[in-house]
Amino acid sequence: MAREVEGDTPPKEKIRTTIWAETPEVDNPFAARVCHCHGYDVFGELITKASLPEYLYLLFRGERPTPEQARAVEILGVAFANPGVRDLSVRGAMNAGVADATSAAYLVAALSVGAGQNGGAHEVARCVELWNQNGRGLDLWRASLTAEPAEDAAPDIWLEPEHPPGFDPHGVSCALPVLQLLDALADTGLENSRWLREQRTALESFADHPLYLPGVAAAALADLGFGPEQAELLFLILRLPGAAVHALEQRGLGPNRYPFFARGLKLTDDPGPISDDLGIVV
Amino acid sequence: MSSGNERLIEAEDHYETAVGAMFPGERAVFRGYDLHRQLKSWEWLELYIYGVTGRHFSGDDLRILNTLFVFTSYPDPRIWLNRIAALAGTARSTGALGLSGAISAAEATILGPRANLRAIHFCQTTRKRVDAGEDLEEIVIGELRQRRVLYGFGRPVVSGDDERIAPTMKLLQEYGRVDGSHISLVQDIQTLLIKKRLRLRLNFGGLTAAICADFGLAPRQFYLGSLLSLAAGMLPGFVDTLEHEEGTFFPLHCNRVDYRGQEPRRWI
Repeated sequence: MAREVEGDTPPKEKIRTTIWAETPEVDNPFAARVCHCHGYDVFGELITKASLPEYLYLLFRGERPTPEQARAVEILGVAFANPGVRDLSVRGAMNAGVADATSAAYLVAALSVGAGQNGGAHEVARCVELWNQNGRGLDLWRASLTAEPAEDAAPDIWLEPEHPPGFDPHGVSCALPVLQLLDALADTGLENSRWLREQRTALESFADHPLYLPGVAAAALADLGFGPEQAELLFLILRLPGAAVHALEQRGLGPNRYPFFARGLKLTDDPGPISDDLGIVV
Repeated sequence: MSSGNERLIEAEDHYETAVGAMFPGERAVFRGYDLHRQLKSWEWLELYIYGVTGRHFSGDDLRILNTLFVFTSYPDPRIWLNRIAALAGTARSTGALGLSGAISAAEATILGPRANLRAIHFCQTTRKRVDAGEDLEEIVIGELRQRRVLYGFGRPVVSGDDERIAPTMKLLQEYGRVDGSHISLVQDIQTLLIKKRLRLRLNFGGLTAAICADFGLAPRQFYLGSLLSLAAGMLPGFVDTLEHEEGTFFPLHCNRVDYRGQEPRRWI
C-alpha cells in the first residue's frame, strides 16, 4: 500500500537536479516506474536506442551528441578502457588485487592513483583549462607552455604541475599510440584534434616534451564541450575497466608472483640492529 | 626534448628513502627509529604526526594536538563526510570502503584539511604582513573583496559562533599557550569582524591553523597532519547503520527529487 508521505510541515528537503526525474510506481513512492535522464525515458527508450558513448555524452553535456561526437567518445572509450598493465592507476588496482581486497578497493586504488597530475585525470583537467584559455592560438600556447611557474602561488592539495600538462615529462619522442589516437580523433572532424595534429611538433618544442595520451584526451574532450571537471571525471571513469581486469588477474596469481622490489629500496636513515630490553641484539 | 627518460632509467629498481622499511623476521624502521624497540612507548598520534612531518611532538604540545583531534570528531551521520560512511553502511558495503570514501572527501573546499591548508596559509602570510607594518583591517577587507571568503572564518550552512572555539581557547589557557603570535592574530581578526559588523566568525579550522602555525608547522605539514582529524567521527555512523535495517538511513521517495530540467522528449 502506498503510504502518505507528503503534506508534513515544514516542507521536506529535496535533491535539486536538472539531470534526473522519476515517476513513482503507484503502489510504492520509493520505487521508480519511469526514469527520465535529461528528458529522455531511460528504460522506455534509451536502453534500446542509445549507445553507451551517446548516453555518456548525454549525461555530461545534457544533449544528444552528433554521430561524429558519439564516435569520438567511443574512440576515447576504447583507447582508455585499459591504460595497460604498467600504468600507475592499474598498478594501484593490482596492489589491491594481489592483497585479495574487495573489488571496489581495486577501483578506489585506481581512482586514487589515476587522479593525479602525472598522467592522470587532474592533468587532463589542467590541460582542458589550457584549451579553454588558449583555444587554437599558437602564440597563446607558446606563452602558456613556456611560462615560468608562479612562485608565490597559495598552497593547495594539488601541487603546482611539474611538467606542462599534456606532455610526457619522461618522453623521448611522441609514441606511436599517441599518434594513432590523435589521427583517429582528428578523422572524426574534431577541430582541436585536427589542429593538434598539425601543430604537434611546434607545441612539443614549446613544452620541451613530447605530447602524450592525456594531452590527446584533453584536446578532444575540450572540443566535445567538456569543462575541466567533466573531462577529469570522464577520464577517471573510462580507465576503470583495465584496472578491474588486471587487478582480478593479479588476485588469481597472488603476491608471490607480483613485484615487491625486494632489492630496490635503499634505506638512508637506518639505526641498524638495536638491543632490546632483554639485551637481545636483533 | 630536454630530460628524456634518463631519470626513469636511473630510478628503475632504485628508490632511496629515509622514511622507513621493514626487515622481515627482524625489525621495522620508522623514520630513523627501530619501531618495536625505540618507539614502543609512543602514542599513536605522536607516531602519526612524526610520520607526516618528521617532527616529534610530545608533552603539552602532543596533548593539545590530541585534544584538537578529539574536539572535531563528531559522529553525527548527517555531516557530509560521515554521511558517506553511513550510506556505505545502509547499503551494506564494507568498513574500509565506507571509511575511505569519507576520508577521500575530507579534502573538501568548504571544510576539513583543504580548507585548513588555506587557513594556515592565510594566517601565516597575514602575520608576516602585519609584522612588516601593514594594516590588519586593510588586509582583511582586501581579502574579503578579492576572494569573498576569509579562510579560517565562517562555516557552511550554520552561522554564529563555532562551538569548538570556547573549549579550545580554554584548553590553550590551561596549557598557557593563548599568547602565540598566530593565535593572537586570529583573535584580533575576530575582534575586527565583530567591530565591522561582519557575520563571519573564527572557525575551528582557523583556530587550529593558528595553533599549528605557532607550533611552526608548514601548511602542507598541517594539511597532511589533519587528514585523519575527522576520522574518529566517521565509523560510528557506519556501525550504527549496520544496527538499523538495511536501506533505512534517510531513504528518499521519488517525489523528494526536485527536477528542474528538460521536459520529456523522444530519442528518435
